Amino acid sequence: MSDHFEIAIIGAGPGGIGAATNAAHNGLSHILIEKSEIANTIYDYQLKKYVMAEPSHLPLRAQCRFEAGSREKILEEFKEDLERHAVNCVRGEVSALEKEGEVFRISYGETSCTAKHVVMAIGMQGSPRKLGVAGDALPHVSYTLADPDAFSNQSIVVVGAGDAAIENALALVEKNTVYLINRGEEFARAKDANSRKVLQAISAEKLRCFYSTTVQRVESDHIVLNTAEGEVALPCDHLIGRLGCVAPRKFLEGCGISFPSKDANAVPVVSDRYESNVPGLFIIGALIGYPLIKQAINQGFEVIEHIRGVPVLPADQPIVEARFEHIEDGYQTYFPNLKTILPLLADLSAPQLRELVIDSTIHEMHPVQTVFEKNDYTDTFWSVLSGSVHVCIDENTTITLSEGDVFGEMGLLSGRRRMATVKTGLEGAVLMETPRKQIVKLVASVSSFRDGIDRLFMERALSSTLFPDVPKEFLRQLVLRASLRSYKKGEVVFREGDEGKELFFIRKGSIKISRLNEAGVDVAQTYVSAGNIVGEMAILVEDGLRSASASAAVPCDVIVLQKTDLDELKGVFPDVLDSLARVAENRSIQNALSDWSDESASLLEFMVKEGLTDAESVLLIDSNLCIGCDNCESACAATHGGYSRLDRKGGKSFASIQLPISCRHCENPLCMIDCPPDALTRKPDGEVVIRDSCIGCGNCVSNCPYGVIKLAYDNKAASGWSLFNFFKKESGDKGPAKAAKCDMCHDLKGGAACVRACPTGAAMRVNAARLVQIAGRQSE
Amino acid sequence: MTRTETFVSYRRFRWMWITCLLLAVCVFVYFLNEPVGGRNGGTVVGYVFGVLATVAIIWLMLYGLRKRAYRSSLGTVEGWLAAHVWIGIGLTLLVPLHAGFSFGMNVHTAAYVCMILTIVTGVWGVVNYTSLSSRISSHRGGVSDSTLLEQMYALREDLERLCAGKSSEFLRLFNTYDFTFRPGLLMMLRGAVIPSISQSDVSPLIQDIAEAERSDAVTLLRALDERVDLANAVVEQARIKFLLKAWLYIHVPVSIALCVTVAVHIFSVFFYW
Repeated sequence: MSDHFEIAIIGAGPGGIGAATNAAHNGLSHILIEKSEIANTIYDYQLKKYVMAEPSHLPLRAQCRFEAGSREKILEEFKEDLERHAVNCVRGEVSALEKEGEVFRISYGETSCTAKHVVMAIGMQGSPRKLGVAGDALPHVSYTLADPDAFSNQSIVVVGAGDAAIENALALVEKNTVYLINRGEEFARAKDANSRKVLQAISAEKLRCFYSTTVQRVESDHIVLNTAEGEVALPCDHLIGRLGCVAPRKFLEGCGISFPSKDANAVPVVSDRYESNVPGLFIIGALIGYPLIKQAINQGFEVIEHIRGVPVLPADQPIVEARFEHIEDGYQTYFPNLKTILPLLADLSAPQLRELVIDSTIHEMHPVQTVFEKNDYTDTFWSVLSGSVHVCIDENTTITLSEGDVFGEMGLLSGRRRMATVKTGLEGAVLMETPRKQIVKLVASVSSFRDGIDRLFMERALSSTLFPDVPKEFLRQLVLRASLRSYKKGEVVFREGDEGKELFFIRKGSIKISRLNEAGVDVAQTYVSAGNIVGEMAILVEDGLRSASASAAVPCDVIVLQKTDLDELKGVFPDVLDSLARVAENRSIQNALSDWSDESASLLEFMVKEGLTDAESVLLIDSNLCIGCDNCESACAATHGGYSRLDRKGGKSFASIQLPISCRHCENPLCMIDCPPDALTRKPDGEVVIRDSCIGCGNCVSNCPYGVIKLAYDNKAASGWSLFNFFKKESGDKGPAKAAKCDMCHDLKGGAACVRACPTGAAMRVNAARLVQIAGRQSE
Repeated sequence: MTRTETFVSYRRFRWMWITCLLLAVCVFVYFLNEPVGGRNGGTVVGYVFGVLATVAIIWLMLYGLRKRAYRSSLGTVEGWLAAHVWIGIGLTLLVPLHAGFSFGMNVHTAAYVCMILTIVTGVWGVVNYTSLSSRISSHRGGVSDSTLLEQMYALREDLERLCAGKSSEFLRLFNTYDFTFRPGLLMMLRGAVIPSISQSDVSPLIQDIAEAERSDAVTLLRALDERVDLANAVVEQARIKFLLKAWLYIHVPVSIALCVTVAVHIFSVFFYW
């Protein structure tokens, strides 16, 4: 006869601790089952790691403590709280979970128990993938790295090519001999910043990487590899395998939990009480898409309250309601019906929906009020909750959107300016404005949401550019047949002389067009930016061949239309290709007029290479005028806390152009990708600025490919006319270093100080389109 | 990429035309007015011109402040420089109009001389700024002068290695074309060029060298020649940098002298009235 409990909690991570402490506090019979350490994921962090308590707006509701602090402090508090509440915590790995009538049977370790309710809180990090070769369980083999400083003068082999492997290897290189074993030929899975760092370390011979290599076996003091050239033995004092985690999906499905799709990112669907499709089985934390510690603890608390039959509103309920408080009956009217109003959100789980609303702003707008202007750089996503809006693309084209429609997806996906002015209709409108980051997160995790956005973008992009006057039905057909393709920087889209079978619409990035000259050298001709088409010439002709080559100037997302599909649809809608023909005609006229010289081609090549085709506002210096006085740098330092955000001499130069190291305000800013507090934003006029909420984590510094962001202390003493400051004592506490870069002097009335301070007019700020003009003029 | 406009031709010579227009008005007034006792600084028109010139000088001196007032949104520094240049040049005529073209050995003419010196050095600066900027190699993908110097020193070490254990004839070839590189002020001003090695001078020296050392001798010559080129490039780049700054070291002090003499001029005029 095994034990029976009211509640069994599987996994003693933050979610499990939140649930167990609350269950114990309320005197419920419970069991907390953990297979290794308490809060194992945090336990595996590097020693002394500072753990953050995001999201900061969310209150903690729990019988245990948690606030930002060191790994050690948090682990200690968790342990104390479990003891204080006398939580019944046992060790053992759960091997099976079956429902027997009204109760669950949980088999763990050597034994089993039964429970009325089960809370699944096992997270995602629980089971690292093993090497799967002889010797992979030897004592010197591990699958985590807690303290890189514990190793010195050792020969360490790191297996894997993801972020964790790279970060571990790099943390070890200073004091040890490190070998990195990569099964593939490159570091495709890693973040750009990590991949760049590891390649630098490899070329600086700080560590040695074996590509296309697998581990054959591990011995006590060495390791045998299968390389492309055959077996290689390496000395090995310690081996760290970072091969990712095995998704516990199989186990979960074995428990009867169903997933909405086969998508690797799919999470089990749960109710707003976290109950899965198996009644009585609750899932919380990272498994349902909540990787943050505080969220998991709160969910653990709420789940127990629910099981106790105590009505509990989620911890964030006041925040959700506050979003609607300025609208009469706003919460009642809109929140419960959100999925009906906005079909795009249909597949969001309840917690996802709440998070979306919390991060959004609800606007009650007057009649004929401007939402945003054409050419603004804002990148938020808008949904119409009620009323209507008019989207004015140009004087002749206005589209009306009403309840349930969304807009702003162009800026979201292409990174370009707003393509239309949007105003509310005569009856006003209630709109929801959602930050880009939140939408990007949903696109990554909810496949129906992503597909919906993609289709919407394609339809609207194609109708506003290529096929303005065609029936909606045609567009729908076309979009159904279109596909989306991504190209890495430099990757070839098509080659000169190939048969033209596809038409490309650039959704994001820009494409370089080049031709072979008489000497057989590929010469850049021009570049085509997002929102335009490429490859139309060869499409219009029977068996047309490509007259030029196309390759990605920066990473690109491209919508691909097949020639066969276009031809087929031409049969049904005979006039649809007219506008395509017009585009082609215009372009051939343009080509005929601009016969580029080799100099301008190489200048364009330089621009493409330096990523300038992605620039919205790049600082260039005309070498024919620059006298090297560095007044630009002085101006920058004087207006930015004594620290110049541009380095004139450090940058590259080509012909008569100097390209200082300074922010170019990219169309698709890589710096914004991974900013935990969302401190990097783009202002309506295109500037990419860093707000005060910066925590100085340095992600943007390593993500910027152009090295324009530095971590700096604000040096107020050095600004302005400050002879007297020389005598001032430096204050002891400078606060954290924060990311600093060019902000286009957004607080100065006259604009960028560097440009205005140039005595000879050599400094200028230009965008990519203007750059190409400049390159073209070179041939004059 | 070439902007065809410079600060001199800023906005289609806007400030040149403004200056010309103002001067034309002044000249017109000058000839219109026929005071008793002849035209001079003591007449009404003379005073007006004097006040105008003083205001102009004060404003011209303010350029130094504007250049450093980085937060100012009052025009651009380029615009200010354009105005500074043309109005400055315009003073060469306005001040004689003020004085009725009378000069002498006195403090008044001393002020004028200071002003002319200031303007002449200023024009020298304008010429330097517009003619030299396109020759700074490090701005055009070339290496900086410090890198050039490093290359020179590295080359010198190569040469010494090459000479180690060689015959006296070989060393004579080296000593003939070796030079100590000491760029001085004179070199900066004159742009003195270190003569390159001529074939006719070298041939007899080479013939003296034994067959076994011939190929090393050719290597030596090539390196020596390269060193001359590098030295000349260093001098050229240093000279450009020097000239871009040098004029200011005269322009600014004489402009201060100008202010002092103008103050003395004004004081003496009123004191002895």
